Amino acid sequence: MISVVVGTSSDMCAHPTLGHESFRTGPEASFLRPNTNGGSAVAAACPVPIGHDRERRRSRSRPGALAAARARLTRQVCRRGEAYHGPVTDTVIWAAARPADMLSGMQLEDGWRVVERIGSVAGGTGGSFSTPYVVERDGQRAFLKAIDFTRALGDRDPTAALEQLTRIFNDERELVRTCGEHRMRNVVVGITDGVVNVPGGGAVPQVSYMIFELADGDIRRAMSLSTALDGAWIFGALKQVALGIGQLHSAGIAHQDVKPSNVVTFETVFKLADLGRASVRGGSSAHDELECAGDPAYVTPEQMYHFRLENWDARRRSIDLYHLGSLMLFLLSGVNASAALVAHLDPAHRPPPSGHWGGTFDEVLVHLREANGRIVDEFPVFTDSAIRDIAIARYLELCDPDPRVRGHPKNRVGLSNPYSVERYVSYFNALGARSQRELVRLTHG
Amino acid sequence: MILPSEHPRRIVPRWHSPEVSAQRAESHSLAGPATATGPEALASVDLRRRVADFASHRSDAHAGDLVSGALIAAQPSLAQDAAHWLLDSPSSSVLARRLADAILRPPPTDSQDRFEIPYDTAGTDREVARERIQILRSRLAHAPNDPMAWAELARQHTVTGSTDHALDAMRIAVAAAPSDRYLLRAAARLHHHAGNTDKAHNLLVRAPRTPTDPWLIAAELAFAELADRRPRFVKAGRRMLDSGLAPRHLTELASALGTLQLESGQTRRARQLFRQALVAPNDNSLAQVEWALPQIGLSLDAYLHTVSASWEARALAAASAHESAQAVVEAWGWFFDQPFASEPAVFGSYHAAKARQFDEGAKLAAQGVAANPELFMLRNNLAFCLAKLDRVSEARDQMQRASLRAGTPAERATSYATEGLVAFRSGDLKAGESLYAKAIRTMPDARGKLLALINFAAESSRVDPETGRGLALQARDQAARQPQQHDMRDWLGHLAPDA
Repeated sequence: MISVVVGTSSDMCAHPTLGHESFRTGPEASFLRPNTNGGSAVAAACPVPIGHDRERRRSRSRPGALAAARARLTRQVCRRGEAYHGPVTDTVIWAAARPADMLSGMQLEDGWRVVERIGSVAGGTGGSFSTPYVVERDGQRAFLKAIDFTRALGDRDPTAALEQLTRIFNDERELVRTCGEHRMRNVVVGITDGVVNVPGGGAVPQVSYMIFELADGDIRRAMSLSTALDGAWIFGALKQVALGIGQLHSAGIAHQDVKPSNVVTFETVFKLADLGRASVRGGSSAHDELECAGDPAYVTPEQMYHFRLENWDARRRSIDLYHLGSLMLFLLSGVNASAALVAHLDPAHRPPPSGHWGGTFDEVLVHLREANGRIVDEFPVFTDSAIRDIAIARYLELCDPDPRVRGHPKNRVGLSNPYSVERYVSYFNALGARSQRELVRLTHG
Repeated sequence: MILPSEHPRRIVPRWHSPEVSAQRAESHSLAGPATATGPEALASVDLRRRVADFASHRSDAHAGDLVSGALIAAQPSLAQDAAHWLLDSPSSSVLARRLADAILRPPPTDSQDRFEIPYDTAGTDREVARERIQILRSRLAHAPNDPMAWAELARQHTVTGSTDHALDAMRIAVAAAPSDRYLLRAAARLHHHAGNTDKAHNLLVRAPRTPTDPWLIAAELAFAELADRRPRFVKAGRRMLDSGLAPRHLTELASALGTLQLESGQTRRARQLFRQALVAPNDNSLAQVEWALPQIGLSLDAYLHTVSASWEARALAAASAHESAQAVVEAWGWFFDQPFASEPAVFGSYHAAKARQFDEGAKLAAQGVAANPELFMLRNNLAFCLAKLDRVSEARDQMQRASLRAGTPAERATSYATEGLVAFRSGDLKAGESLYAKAIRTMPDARGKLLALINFAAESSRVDPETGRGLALQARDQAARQPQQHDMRDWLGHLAPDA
């Protein structure tokens, strides 16, 4: 039963910083082509002794950086499950340097000072290409995303990997600037970007970075901090996410990676973060050719079964609609729509690796619809049953397994864009208001 | 008592729930299982990040995120802790618990491993079927674009005997997905059940998918024979047998073509086809081979207890071995598997009566009547068993309804015999004698005459041993002159030894 007790976001505001999700594996792994043994690119570069006396002297002049590099090297080698038998010389450490990890305490050109790194695991998640920090200027704290170009050096084809990484960074920077120009209220705003030269930074000491407004946390944290989630809170958040998607769509951008960790909170405002997977209408971003550009844990049904539409709206915007429905299910039930769908499918109808369906997408659609029907059977109960009915209807529209009919049916009439989210903004607004009234009714008898 | 149909068996499609159908090969892709060449992205879900998140934020939301990712990546081992968290959490949702359960108890990926399901118990009882109808209606109110749910609603309506409602629901299902194999076979089965086999055949002939799908061709051949029409896809079916499709997809087609060959006297070719059907048989094709055994001389010992859900084949085998009690046990399984079908109830009630298990016979027949209220055979068998249990008023009530539905001369003659039994049990000996005599006189076949005579003798012996002895003598004499009627020996056991 969904409680109608209002959950406030004040707890989230009081919580210390947590920035946007900056660690990625999955999709990056496919275009960065990491080493087959799973080790990081830097680790692979370790045993290559490259002389660079001046930088080495700089390293010596920074004993803290040297120690950090030595520790990082050890961790990287150990994480691969292989013993590193080579000498741990300054040269090797120099070659292994990841300057993007070495920004703590540095002063940037535009007045920002790097306060601390976010997250405790050096090297992130193996496939990461950015390192997150908190930065500060004139008492204002912000989030810095430092790009680790050294990762490309350990690739089998370093030039191609470097080109790819550069393209991704430039694409995201361009998108962030576009969002800023459009004054998108529900998309995380970029403050500035630049390049910093890191002393002792090894072969590529220049680190490119972007600075964003700093969020309180992601929506999962907000969920876990609220002792009793309620419809007003949930639908209020969904309305703001829908607004963010709509703002992006209006600018010809499809986010493609809307998920709980990419919905961040700023006091009572919810914003979409991380445009690293976004696609621009008429553009050509680095990951546009990937089957699943976003987080594969939030894969859409058509992506699961390799069904690809050529029309940009049908292919890209429909993904955002599915993810919006998936977020709704996550906020209401704590699991995402893709996983719920797979769990309700027989293994014979699931895609690999959890199943072995070998037929076409159109053939499996009836089974996907049946699985969605079973999800509906287990939808949470509300004190006001009308809210449940409306929520289920919206979920089924947004998470329709067929991207050709996804979205509100009335959007398919006339000249409306079939993948518009406008109606969902209205629906979530109305559901939130109705939940609020229900709360008042129950509270005051 | 009426005998089970002696018409040739056809490989009429089974009609299971979508869930059960998914566990068998019927709704599997012809393209064969996809292997590890699936989207690499799905296996590359960043689970380590989620594990770390859950370690630092022990909450339902973080546990759900990890469990969701692990399910997509098919790496349940990394989410065991989160799954236990969700199952223990008082605030986790039903859906989250469902996914946690899927993490802790993943289904076997090889369908053969979970082929043995006891029965599809839901739907065997009208009350259960009505509850499921309510659930399905509620689901369809929210999600009307779900053809499988409409088909399941049709199946449950069929179980309750509401064939018109079932036809309405199935029409919607097929309109929404006109090329789905499961739906086409289910719809054809429903039309056949409703007595419109022509329509069943038309549906399959017109479906664009039929010429390319061995399951649909097998069904087309069966319904063409039942509708006394010329099968349309015999050649396509023969070509398909050599197409390299997985044997489990070809088993029904091979047995359907084998049946055609058998009927045209091509026993050798039929035997080859039935052998092909046995490469990867299912319950339906195995029953078909069991039916054809007297003519093709294959041995099914290796299959009867290894092919799961093969209740019909085992029931037929038990009946052939004069093990009526075992045939009844298997008939129950057959009935649970196809709760709307009349065949298992007719077969089971007949053999239960032969084994003098009248209580079992009455139960089976009553269950069958629920889904087939218009069928004379089931009401007659129910009345027979009730009368034998001395539940005379109930038997009379059933017989009154049965008599209205007796259409053929054999059915009318049978109804006289059962009415005679009811008259005997109600103490009206004169009427009983008269009705039995009329039954024996009007029965069109010798086997039916003999069965009526045996039962007449058994009833007479209870009230007038001398008359009974005379009739029993006649019955034994006639039975001796019909040695091919093997099951009459079992019926003669109903007569007292001194009769």
